[in-house]
Amino acid sequence: MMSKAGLCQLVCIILLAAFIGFSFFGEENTVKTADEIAAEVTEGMNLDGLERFDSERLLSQLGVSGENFESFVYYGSEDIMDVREILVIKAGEDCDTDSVTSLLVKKAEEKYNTYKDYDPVASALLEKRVIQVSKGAIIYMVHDDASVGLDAFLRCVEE
Amino acid sequence: MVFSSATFLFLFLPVTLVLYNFRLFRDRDRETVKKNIVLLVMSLIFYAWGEPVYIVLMLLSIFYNYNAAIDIDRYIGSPKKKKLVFAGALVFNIFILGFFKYYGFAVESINSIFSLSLPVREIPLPVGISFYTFQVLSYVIDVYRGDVRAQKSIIPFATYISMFPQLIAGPIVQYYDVEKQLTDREITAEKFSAGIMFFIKGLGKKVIFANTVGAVYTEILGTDISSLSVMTSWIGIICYTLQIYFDFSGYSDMAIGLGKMLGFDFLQNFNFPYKATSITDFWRRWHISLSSWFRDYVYIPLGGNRKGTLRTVFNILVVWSLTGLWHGAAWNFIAWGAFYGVLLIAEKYVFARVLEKIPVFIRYIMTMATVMIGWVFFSAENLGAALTYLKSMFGLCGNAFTDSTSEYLLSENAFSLILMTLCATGVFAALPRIKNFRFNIAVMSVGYMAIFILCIIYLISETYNPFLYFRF
Repeated sequence: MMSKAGLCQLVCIILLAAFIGFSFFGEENTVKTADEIAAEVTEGMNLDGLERFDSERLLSQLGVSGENFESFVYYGSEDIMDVREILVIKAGEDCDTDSVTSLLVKKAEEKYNTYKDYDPVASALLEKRVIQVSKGAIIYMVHDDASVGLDAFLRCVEE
Repeated sequence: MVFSSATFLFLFLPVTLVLYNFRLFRDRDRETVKKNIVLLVMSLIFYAWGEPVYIVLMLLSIFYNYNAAIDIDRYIGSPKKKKLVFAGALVFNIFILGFFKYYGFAVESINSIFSLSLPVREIPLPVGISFYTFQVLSYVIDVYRGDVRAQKSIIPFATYISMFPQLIAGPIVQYYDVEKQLTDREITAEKFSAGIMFFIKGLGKKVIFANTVGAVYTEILGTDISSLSVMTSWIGIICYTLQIYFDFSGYSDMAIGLGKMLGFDFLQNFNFPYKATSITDFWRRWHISLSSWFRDYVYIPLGGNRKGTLRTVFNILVVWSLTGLWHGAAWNFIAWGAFYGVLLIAEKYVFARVLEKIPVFIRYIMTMATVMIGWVFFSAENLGAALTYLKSMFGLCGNAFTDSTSEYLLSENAFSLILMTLCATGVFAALPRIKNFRFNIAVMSVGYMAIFILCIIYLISETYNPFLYFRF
């Protein structure tokens, strides 16, 4: 006859199997690359004055390290008074998306504090920033058309 | 949650210490039980903060191994049953680690070796799984060997596995080292203040040193590696060499310090590895808890050096390939482990006598250059990137020896690199101390307070704050 401890071990094994099943068949990351997501996101957005950058150095300047990202796309302006930016990150397997989003929020808040006293348009835009994580992809937008971009992002990663 | 975050420093830690030290019972045993419960609950909150789902996995591991050890202990007079339960526990733990850490790597490797296209399901790596699985394995093995008795109460056992100071980045604490402390420990003023000093020292290593050089290395990696000048690539790897030491030893110091504040004594995990004069010496000083684990639970059970030269060579290669694999599910980590395995064998059997005749300083330079080459494999995204970086370091990419980037990096970072090198090699620690107790206390108090304030300033102003060993 099985001991109480043996029974507990058996229960743990069953629960582990269930947990693995849950991990395996839970929400799957999108198969799309950051490039593909960014193409759909920016389709309905006004990109005049924005440039695409692809240096990893830029990511560290934004406050996020690139080591656990599969790919990313960044649009920003070289004009310091233009706060618009679009960042699409396809997170890697080991990427802690929560810490990335909190770093982006911190960055946006710092920027908001810088602009709030002398540029109401820029600070309003920064206040309405969009940060969303879905299916292993992260989007960060400071843009007038952010709501259009967000709809496109969610549609794209769901496909 | 990381130790070097405002949430931890100003919310989690003070709340934990208040609840932990608030004396509820006069009876020492009951008070220790209360302390364990507080520590367990706070550790689970700490883990769940970043890993709300994978806490289930850790709890399953705790419950399974707690019961398995009780069964192993019970079947002391029935070797077959004992062996069966033990084998079950080994399979359970190795399966958990193997599945959650190596599943993707295994499928991708099979796909590339056999040109298949089996689907790979990405599973995020549960934080700290390598550390707590090794702790739990050491416990079960020790109970099986009869070195320790099974813990009859689940609270101290769960506290041992989930204890937040060492849960997510070590050091790997073996059960027999803390067995007594789990049920009977004392927090004295001396121990608590020593804990604070250890913690601040670790925080400083991490926030002031590791983050600073880490940002330089990240910047260098952000450019095209194959176009780096020889000097830039060496500056990069020197920065990484310092970053990984200050990052990991800083975290270990913080863990040891927190342990002391909670009444525990964890063993030292680093002993100035960058003053080693051979690779063997380096590994006696680097990540001591991991080396000890592999020695006690893999190398010696395989026969160690008692079964002849060939078997010893085989055992060393097995241990070092596993050490590499433990650090990450990628070929560059296996290459890194095998690299050290081969070097240790060469030192032991080929160059032992030659090395003795070489002046210490030359041996030191050789060791450090080898360690830095090792870090190239360790830090690279994959084996190909590591080889490209190595080519840049030795001018095999056809690039210049020096360029404006290397000159800029040197002029910007020379002072901090020299300072950090002196700290990492223990030069300051070896300086003679003034034998005036009061003076020392005053200087140390002011010094540690200054380091803490500096850390806070860095934490507020900097956004670059990764912990390298969280990946493992």
